[in-house]
Amino acid sequence: MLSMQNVSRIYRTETIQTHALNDFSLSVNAGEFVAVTGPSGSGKSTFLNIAGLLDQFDEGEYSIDGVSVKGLSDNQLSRLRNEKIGFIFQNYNLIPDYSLFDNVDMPLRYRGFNGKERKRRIEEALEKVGLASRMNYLPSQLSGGQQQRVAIARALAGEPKLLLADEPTGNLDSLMARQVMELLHDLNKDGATIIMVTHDPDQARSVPRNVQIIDGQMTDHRVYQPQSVSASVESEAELA
Amino acid sequence: MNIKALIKSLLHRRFATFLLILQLALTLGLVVNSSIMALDTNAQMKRKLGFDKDELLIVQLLPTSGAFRDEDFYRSVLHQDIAKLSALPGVTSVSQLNQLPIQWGGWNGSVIKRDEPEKLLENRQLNFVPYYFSSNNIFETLGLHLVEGRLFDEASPQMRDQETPSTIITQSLARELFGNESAIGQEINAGFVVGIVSDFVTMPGNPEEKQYAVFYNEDLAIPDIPQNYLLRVAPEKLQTTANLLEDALLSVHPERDILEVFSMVQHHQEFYQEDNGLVGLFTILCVLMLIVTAISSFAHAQFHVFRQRRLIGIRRALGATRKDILFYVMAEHWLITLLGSVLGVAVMLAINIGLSGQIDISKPNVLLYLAAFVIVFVSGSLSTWFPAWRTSLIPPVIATRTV
Amino acid sequence: MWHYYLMLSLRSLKRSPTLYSMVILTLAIGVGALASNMALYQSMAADPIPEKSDRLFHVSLNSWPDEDSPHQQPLFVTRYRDAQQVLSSGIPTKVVAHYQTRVYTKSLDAKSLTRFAADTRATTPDFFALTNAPFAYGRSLSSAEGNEVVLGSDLNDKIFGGSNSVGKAVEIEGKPYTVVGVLKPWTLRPRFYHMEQDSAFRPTDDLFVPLETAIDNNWGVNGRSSSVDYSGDMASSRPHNRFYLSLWAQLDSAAQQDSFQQYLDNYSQQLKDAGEHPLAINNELKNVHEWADKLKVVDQRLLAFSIATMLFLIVCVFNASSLLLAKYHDDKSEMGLRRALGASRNQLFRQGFVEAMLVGSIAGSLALLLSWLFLACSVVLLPNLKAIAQLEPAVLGQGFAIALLTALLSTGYPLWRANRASISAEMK
Ligand SMILES: Nc1ncnc2c1ncn2[C@@H]1O[C@H](COP(=O)(O)OP(=O)(O)O)[C@@H](O)[C@H]1O
Ligand SMILES: [Mg+2]
Repeated sequence: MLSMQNVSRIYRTETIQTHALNDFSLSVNAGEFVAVTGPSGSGKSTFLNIAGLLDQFDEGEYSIDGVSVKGLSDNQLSRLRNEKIGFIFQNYNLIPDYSLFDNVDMPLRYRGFNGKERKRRIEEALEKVGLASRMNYLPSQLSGGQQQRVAIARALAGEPKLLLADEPTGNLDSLMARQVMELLHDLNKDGATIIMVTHDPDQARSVPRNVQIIDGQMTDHRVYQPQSVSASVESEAELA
Repeated sequence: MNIKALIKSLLHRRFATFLLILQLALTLGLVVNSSIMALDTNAQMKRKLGFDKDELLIVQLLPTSGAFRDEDFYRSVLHQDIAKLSALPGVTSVSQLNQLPIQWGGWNGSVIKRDEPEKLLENRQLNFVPYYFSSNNIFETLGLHLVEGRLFDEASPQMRDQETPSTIITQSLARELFGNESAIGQEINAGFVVGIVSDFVTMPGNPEEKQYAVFYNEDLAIPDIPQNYLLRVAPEKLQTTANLLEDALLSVHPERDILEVFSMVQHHQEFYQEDNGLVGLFTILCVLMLIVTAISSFAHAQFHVFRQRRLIGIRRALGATRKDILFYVMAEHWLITLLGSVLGVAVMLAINIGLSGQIDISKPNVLLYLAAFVIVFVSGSLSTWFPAWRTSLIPPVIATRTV
Repeated sequence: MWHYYLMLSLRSLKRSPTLYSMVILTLAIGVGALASNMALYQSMAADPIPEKSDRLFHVSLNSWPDEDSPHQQPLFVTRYRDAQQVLSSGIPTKVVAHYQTRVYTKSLDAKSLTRFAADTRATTPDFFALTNAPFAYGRSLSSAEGNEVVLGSDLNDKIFGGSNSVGKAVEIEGKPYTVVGVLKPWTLRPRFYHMEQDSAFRPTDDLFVPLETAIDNNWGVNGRSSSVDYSGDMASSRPHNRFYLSLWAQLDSAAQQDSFQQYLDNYSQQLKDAGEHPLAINNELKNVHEWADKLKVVDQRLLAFSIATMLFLIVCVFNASSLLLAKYHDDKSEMGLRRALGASRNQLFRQGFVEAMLVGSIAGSLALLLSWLFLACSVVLLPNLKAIAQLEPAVLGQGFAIALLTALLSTGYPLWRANRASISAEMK
């Protein structure tokens, strides 16, 4: 599904160079759910942005769904983003004066679907996140958790192969966070490939595969038994 | 207030700032040049005419029947006309005149001393000296005064009856031809000079010291050329007299077309109508330009400064007073105005040069520039003040809020 | 997709109504002022006879007999005998000599003494074919002599109530003249056959009479007439140095032009050899455009004002651009979001383009209204422009196009800048 080989990303400012990603390699198969953890500033978002084709990289190889992205034009990259990738942001990034319907509609428009097809997909996506009845609400009329679910619906509506989430629960209280996590797990069960950056160790442990990034490099990589939460607690203890 | 911080913040939005500076410069340039045009035209119109503009009424007419081809018949009607008009209440003097003062072109000829034809090449205006064929009392009617020699009177012979006609010329023409010598009794190509009268504005396009004119005593009766009767009337009677003219003239002989009745004041204004019209157009454009530039100043403060809400909130949180913020935004605008004014000098000169290719326009001067600067400064400051004031109302708490 | 872009543009206008009304208003004012100026300019610079304006030539002959003359350039009028010489050359396809005069006329049968003023063209008969004068009834003059006349439409309306008056007679100075033709309403802007001395935008003539007849009747010259040594009447002026006739020739080929120029130069040379004039041979053939340029038919004041209106439009575009810069800056994060969700740069540019077109269309429509208003103002301030203050469809179209262009120009940089920002930076 996704394969990064020795990818590096260097930010250059007048005074310093930051190796936000340093010789980073990772492969993710279709249907996997991966949690990315690490301290603040370690390069998680950089990794996710590159994975999501929002950002360039300086060295290495990256291919998604078998297509190498090196040298692709802006049009081709946008097309890939639109068709294969769904993005979920920490701060939802909904357009405040658009209804839920119009917010979910937005990426579909750029895909060029006709009106009927769009309507079907929007309703289906909002149905999945349990907000179909509030299609005409504005984001400000929803709670944070609901807003994030709308953002997830927006990501789902394009039926992407890969869902990328950057701290999707970072702005939510624990109850809402749990609802969002459940939704992601459900989606994964239905076959979606998901990569999620998170700060919350519990959340990370609830996800089958964990990747830790420190200083732009992968430092820990483990696979949990997905069913058992207690097992993950044990391995946490082991680590310590 | 830290000027470095100001410049840094302007540089941060350099494109928008640059546009505003350019706008201010262009506005300044246009306002200055429009004012120059207005002042130029005004000065032209205020120019002393040398005759009594305010007491003159003019009627222009053409005969419509072939009978007037007979010169003697035409003349007899002409004399009856003048007698009739002279008898109107309030009219002190009536003259016939082949063309009016204050005009372009007209009935012109060259004037030279017979032995100095080369002067025509040196002084272009000598080739186009207006020839006035008029009644003998024209000087009284116009209010020209005698400088030397004599005027025409009832006893003076008509031009057509003379071998070499007697002529009266203006002072500047006499000076041009004869210098300090007396012109009286001298012969020129136009005739014998018998009198010299004061200068008056014949062609406003010519310089003041070249208002040449030649007068003949001649009751011109050519049916193809509009005849002018000049009436000297007490200013308060001008309008009532004007209303009587058509009937009076048609009662003398009906087969005439009264082309126009107007006062010399109107004639004077009409001559400058185009210049005034152009000034009007430029004034409209200036006002619009000031409005647009005011909108720009407003928008600059409103949208570009207001966007730095958070930064301003932080300043407030760190102890800046409302006044400080207000002053900060205003100072930014003043700095832009200052830069615009510097560039404005160049723009002003460029526009002036560009315009001088098409029309006559004086050079800009410092005083006008300063006046325009004050206008631009005040209108810009006023339109910046409101958004600046609103910016100063930003509460410090903004600083702690995430956007 | 364009439909979606249009919807987004409308939404965008609704989102910041103040900002957009400022943008639209400034662009509309700027374009309106320019369009009204363009309307005046274009009607002054118009081609009055496009089918052959490049083949009709004004003829200037340099035959002023006096060396001490200010006329280093040839006069635009000629003497009678020069004109006769040119008329008889046999080279041009058509050639005319004419001058303007004014007579008073009425129907010969009319009981009333009222005569109508008629601006009159005294001309040789080729005039009508050369100028393509449109006939409503009858035919052109048959020769430069005789008592035939052709009436202009207005005068025919006044005298004969607009009816077919061919065969009827008019009276001028007590003599009868037979109407042989009546013209249709005829507007020439500029009136190319007589543009001298600021008269390019006067109406075409009311009455057309044979040249020799007018001279015989002593009908005076209503226009430039220069004499060296003569001050007598028209009828006896033929052999004298009185310059008052305008000469026009239709020359259809370059060869014809060359041989005609040659002919004129030979004639001047002969005069010079005979000691009749001392000047260098300098005869000018100027076609309608060249002649209009030389006479500065386009008002210089208007050109001056054009400079100002263009500067003003630039200021307006700057203003709009500065406003849009603020707007697009605010939109940067939304644009980043769209890009993150799969919109390409191209799509966002197209979106910006549609929005610019929408703004431009609104501004353009408003500008057309304003240009009408400005034009009305111009006519009040400069009454001489009345005859030419016309808003032709072409000008309206151009004004609209300029509005679109200025909207695009103002949008360009802000859009490009907003679109250049990196997505990941916007999505933080
Ligand atoms: N646009 C940028 N310019 C310069 N440095 C950047 C930029 N974006 C991120 N960085 C740097 O790259 C490193 C990784 O950042 P990021 O991937 O956002 O970390 P994380 O998401 O793990 O907190 C940090 O040191 C950060 O300062
Ligand atoms: Mg991060």
